[in-house]
Amino acid sequence: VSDATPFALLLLAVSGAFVVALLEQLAAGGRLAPGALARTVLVRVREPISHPQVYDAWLFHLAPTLLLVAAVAALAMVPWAPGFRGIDVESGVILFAAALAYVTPAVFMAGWGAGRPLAVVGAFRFVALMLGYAMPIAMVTTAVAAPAESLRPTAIVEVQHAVPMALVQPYSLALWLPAVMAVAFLPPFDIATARGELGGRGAFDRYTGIEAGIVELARRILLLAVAGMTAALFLGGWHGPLLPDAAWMAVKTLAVVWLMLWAGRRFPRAEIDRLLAFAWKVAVPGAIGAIVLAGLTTLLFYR
Amino acid sequence: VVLTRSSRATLPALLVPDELSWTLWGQDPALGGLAPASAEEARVLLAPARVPSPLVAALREEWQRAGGGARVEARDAPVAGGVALAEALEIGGGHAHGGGHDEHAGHGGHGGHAGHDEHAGHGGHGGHDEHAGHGGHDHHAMMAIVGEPSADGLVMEPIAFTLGPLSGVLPGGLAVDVELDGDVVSACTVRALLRAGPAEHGQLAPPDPLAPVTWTTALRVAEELERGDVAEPAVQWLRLAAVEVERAVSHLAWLRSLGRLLGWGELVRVAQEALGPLLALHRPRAPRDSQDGAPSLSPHTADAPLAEARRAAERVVRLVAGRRFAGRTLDRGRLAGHPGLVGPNARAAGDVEDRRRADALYAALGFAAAEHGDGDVRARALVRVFEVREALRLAAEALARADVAAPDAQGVPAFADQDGVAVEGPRGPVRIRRPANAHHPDLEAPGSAAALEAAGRAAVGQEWASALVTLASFDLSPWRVGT
Repeated sequence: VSDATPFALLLLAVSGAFVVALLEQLAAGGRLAPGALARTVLVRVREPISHPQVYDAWLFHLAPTLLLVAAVAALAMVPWAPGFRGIDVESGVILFAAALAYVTPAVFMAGWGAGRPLAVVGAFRFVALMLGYAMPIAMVTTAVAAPAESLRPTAIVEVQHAVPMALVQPYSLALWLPAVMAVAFLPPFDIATARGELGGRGAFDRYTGIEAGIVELARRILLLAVAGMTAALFLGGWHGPLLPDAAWMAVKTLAVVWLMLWAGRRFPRAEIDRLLAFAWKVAVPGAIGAIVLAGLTTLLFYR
Repeated sequence: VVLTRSSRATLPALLVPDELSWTLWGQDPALGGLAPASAEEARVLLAPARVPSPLVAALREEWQRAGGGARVEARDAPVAGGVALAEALEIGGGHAHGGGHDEHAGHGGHGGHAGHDEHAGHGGHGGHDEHAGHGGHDHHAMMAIVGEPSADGLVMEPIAFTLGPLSGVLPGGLAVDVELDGDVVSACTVRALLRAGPAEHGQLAPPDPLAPVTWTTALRVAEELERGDVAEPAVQWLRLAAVEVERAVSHLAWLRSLGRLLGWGELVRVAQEALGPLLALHRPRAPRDSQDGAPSLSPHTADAPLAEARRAAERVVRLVAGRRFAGRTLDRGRLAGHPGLVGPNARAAGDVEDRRRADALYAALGFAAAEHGDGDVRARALVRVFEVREALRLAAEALARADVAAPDAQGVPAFADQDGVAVEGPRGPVRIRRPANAHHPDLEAPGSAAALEAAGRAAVGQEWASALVTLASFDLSPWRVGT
């Protein structure tokens, strides 16, 4: 961490969100339109902020900022390269999960604060979903950290110098991916923001202007953060032949982003009851099993 | 915010009355890059130059919320008895941009363009007050604390709100009064708010703009029956082809909306690929313009688009019959029996009734009605995609026969029976009873009220997402026909 780290992080967040937005365009329509994206930003900036007639002002106006802070905090824990490790702390992966945990109150504040029936439904859906998926995220993190015997993300990257964790613990990756996609409310797990089902943007329906822009920005930073952490924890992070370290990390992160966006178009939106049933009946027991297996793997192969 | 035409693809648009109506009137918004959005996120309002009166209050509300920041684009589109757009929005004529003037200059007779003063005096004012009470938007609904124990014994706060009439997910003009118990629907009533206005310029408009070709054909045949004429065989085959193309367009556009509701990009894309080539053939305005009452379908130019659509329709069938679709639709919104239902909704519940079975022309083509016994959302979708496949086959064969003027239809008036005229449209039969009076015919769309009622009933007891998919699965029309 240096004096430049916060600025580097913000630069990474904004430029990364831009690239994610371009990938979204590519996934949705098959063509890139950076100019259109810039115009959308312009519209958001120039549009006035508004609010529903009946609403909770504090919750409503704080939610976008909280979401943005949570997303940037999560992004800060991602190790990008040996020379740029974000905020490299001993308990990084736990802090990452903790940052993601703040997405839940942000979504709830937005939905509840808007005081609109379908936004409230979206808010409650998200809380129910996150109650189910917070545990798998935390436990899978532990399982992945076991071989490195450290919760420091860079240490977990280093332990994968020979074999990426996705090959050692594929079951952990299978539990991790849907859970982090749900946190970032990506289709088909976008039940809190379900377009059409809950109006335009569900819990975030009523934001206009810069607040709507912050929500859109935060969502993409969140996607970047979970994709980056997936690359770091499971795909070997910056390890790879020929290319520079940072390039490998960028390629892997964008590949994960693309995989998540692609999956969102391939499947109809999941239903809340099925997602909850899966979380409690499969994901949570599966995550406990993953910890046990990770312990055995560590004892057998990493010592 | 006024943006150039090229950039609007990036903007979410509120389509008034709805995407399905635009598509069925031959202007598919998706081809121009416009994706329908809910009123909350819309940056562009695409509205017909005249708006059905019951939508005026809701539309004005959206316009005011946009605070003048949104752009209005007016086009020549379906309305039957409405209020001029500029008047409805209480804006000066200069603010509404007539985006479609040039390309539709030839259709000047169908109604005014936005902002033209000549329409300021037209009827429809009555609609303002009578519908103001509907509210129509859920943000008005406050949460009432009643404290009734729900089915699972928990004391819940029921949430009551109205979805529509400009909801973005259901056709514009449908208002759904919902009461949620938690996220489960405990009460649901669907109202159809729209009704066609009286004949204009002596020309009776289709009373349901969601089935324009079907109704135009029925009105034509009724006129001919009254005069004692029988159309040329080639004309009859062309009409059959046009009705079948409309069925395919309607079902595919409905499926595309369902895909949007399900958040399923692949279904939207696949439905769009089948829909695209058909839009070149589907010209709802043409039958009125042509001299001999024949739809302006040409057997020679229709071959390639029909073949392309048939190939794409096979992909649609595979996707809808597959497991991913079943996961969201199997066993949802199942009805016991099919009381009063008609059309695909009834055929999805095991009813074999189809007007086309009794028609000599259809029999000559070897028509087979699609059926399914399950009566759930999946069955309704499957019946429709099978009907798309059959409709495209029928259209291709009818066009081939029109080309050689096959004599099968000689002397047999298609679409007529002893009671008058009956055409099986996309949502069931449309009827015109004898004695047909050219200016005040007795028009009927039996089963539409039953569909509204059945949809509301089927939604009760389901989680909101499934309830909404169930409502959409009935392909309801907001237009009331008959008494």
